[in-house]
Amino acid sequence: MTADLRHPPPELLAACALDALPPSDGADVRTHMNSCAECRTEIDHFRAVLALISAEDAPPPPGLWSRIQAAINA
Amino acid sequence: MVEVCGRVEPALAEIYRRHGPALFGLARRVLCSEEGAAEVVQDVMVRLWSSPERFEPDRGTLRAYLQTQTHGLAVDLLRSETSRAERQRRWARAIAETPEAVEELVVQRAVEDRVCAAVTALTEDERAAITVAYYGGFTYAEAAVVLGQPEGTIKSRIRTGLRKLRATLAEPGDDA
Repeated sequence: MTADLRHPPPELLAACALDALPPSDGADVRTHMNSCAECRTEIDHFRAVLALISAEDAPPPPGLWSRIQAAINA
Repeated sequence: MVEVCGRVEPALAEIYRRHGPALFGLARRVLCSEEGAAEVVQDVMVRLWSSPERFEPDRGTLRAYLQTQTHGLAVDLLRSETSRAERQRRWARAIAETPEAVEELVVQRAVEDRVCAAVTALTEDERAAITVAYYGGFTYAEAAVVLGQPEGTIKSRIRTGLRKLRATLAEPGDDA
């Protein structure tokens, strides 16, 4: 069996980009992604598109940056 | 990013200023909680500070990377705090009350014409499948239950929808 034949079904790559894989599929796809640049690129492209259409911007709470500063300086 | 790698706090502050509202908006949308969303955004920024090498610029923009992190953490938090049955009931109720909202949700931030055109080119079914899975934090199997469709149909709609969007929007510009 060649590496190509072990690619997950394309539908699972799309679902992976949405964090919508059930645990039964998720582990296999993630393992495959770690060693397959082609599938990783496919998922990256879907995620790039999602970044363009994602939810409405909302101002974070005023104190959040201070909390982040405290966390990184802890 | 070079500055963040060198642990320069103002560089992280600038990243937070530029991307924080988008990340907070996404996390709040998934979690329906200001506090939960703040927790997620804090976690994302601290992780970027601690492990900036995990962002690989050749794999996409910083925005896309941060949004992927934010979505993943928000979904994990949602799934740990709210049962699947409760989430499915909540979405089924929302869809029953305002069916058109499911198709509209995805375009909320689509201010650019080309993005708006790409989203409206999807079928309503494709938009609904993507919206319910992405913002509901559902697996495709759970989204199938919410939408009353077979799993295979939902998987296929998600893929077809994302491929159409990708074809229309092509390569996004580098806003990192």
